[in-house]
Amino acid sequence: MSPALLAERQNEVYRRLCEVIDPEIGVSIIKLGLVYDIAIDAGDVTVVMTLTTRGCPLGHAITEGVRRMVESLAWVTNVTVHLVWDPPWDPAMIR
Amino acid sequence: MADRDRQAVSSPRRATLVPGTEAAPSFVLVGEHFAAALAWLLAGSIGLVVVAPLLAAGGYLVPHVIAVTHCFTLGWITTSIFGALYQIYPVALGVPAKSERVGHATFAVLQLGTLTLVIGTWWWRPVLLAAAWVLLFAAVGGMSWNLLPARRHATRGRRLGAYVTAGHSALGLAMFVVFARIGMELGWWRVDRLAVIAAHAHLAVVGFATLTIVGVGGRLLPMFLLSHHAEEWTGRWIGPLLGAGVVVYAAARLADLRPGELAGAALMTLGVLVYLALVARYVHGRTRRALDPGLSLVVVAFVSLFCATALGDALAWRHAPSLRLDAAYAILGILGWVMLFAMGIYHKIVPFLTWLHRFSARVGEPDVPRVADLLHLPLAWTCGALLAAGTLGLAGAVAMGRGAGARWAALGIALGAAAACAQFARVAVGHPGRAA
Repeated sequence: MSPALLAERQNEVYRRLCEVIDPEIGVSIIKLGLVYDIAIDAGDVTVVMTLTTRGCPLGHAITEGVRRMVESLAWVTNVTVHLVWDPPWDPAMIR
Repeated sequence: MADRDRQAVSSPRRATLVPGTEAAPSFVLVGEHFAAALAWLLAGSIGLVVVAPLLAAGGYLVPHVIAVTHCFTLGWITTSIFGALYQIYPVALGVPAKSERVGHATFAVLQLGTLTLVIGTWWWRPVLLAAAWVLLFAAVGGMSWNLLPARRHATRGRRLGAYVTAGHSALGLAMFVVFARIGMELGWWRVDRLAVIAAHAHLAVVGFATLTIVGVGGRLLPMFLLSHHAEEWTGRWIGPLLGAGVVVYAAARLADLRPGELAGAALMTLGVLVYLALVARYVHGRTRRALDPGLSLVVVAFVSLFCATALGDALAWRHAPSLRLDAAYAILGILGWVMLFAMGIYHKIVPFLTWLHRFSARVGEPDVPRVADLLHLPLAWTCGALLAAGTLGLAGAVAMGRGAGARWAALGIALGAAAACAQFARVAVGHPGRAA
């Protein structure tokens, strides 16, 4: 995959993730700084992200939303969402 | 990035759940607790309108007043706490309750026990009081067996688990203490009636309700205020201070040891002050600047806690009976502190749980409302204003012995309770659209 195509696809994933809103805070997970990394290998997309609090009751809804939104891109064949707690989320990460 | 802290959620749909959320019970278990609690709140607030002049005359030991009090303490507060714990405790500790069926059973027994107690006190039937005690003991014991042992298997949320366990222990003590009062009515023995009531009330309100609130609030308040960075080291002292204080106070009251009473009161006051300092750090350091109706009510509850503590200390030092001030102290502690805190949290978690139940599978779709969109904001502000003004007004009117003022204030509380019931019925069954 050429660097230009990779950048374009990362942008597409990024734009999709902007549509995933944390329903309690009412802000997108990108703006909240919950997404740490987006890795693309052909049709495989790996999103590394965290949640505002460990054991967040909305966590499953948010990670499923991420998976669903990225899967809706035509070229995506597999989505993996890695939830990490290090570094822990902090309000200073809000963009 | 630590690999041990990494969990994968992959497509297709064999995705694992976010750790902790799989431990949550069904919506029905929590919902039935909250629905019943709201019904008790409405019943209690209507009863309060009836008994308000009695309270203003200092008659807080009148059976009708005790019946109404238990509509609030057992019906509203305990049922709410049990419902909230079934949701929050397993998620926070990552370990589910032993049995959801037992949860439904303890809920039913708790409601039956509360109803029996309220009827037994309203018409003063000691046999019914004894039957209610057995039912309530079974409900509390069943709840404790079902939920609390999860703490042994938890890898996180241990502080919350410790606070909830300590709270339930205090509730058990409160029940044993009040059994002495029931035994006296049945002619089995004699006890100092006022001492038993004081010990029972403090174990229930400070020991059970407040310790539980401190534990659960330590998780909820930073989450709702977005104040994760607040310094929390003082949190470890609040429980020991409040727990030791209430036990020393209750024991000294029962043994009629004046220095012990004062020492217990001082420890409780210190615990409350340390807690309020922690809460002030949460509020001051919040990222979310605007306080919504729920969090505003929580702030009023903390103001009430401070006022109740100050009045309680004044009464403890004075050491002379003052029925009206005692009643005002109880109103500030039970209604001003615990009832308003619970109502504030209801305005946060009822929409939260309803959203999870109805919209969680549709994240990312354009017409999905935010959690806050489920609330009718003007109704929420009206409810909060009525409850807060009614409660503080009732405490003031009772302290001054104004019967008519007390009844008007109680009417405000009843209207606030009705507004809350309308709000949460709307949240549960309404179909709000996405806010602009």
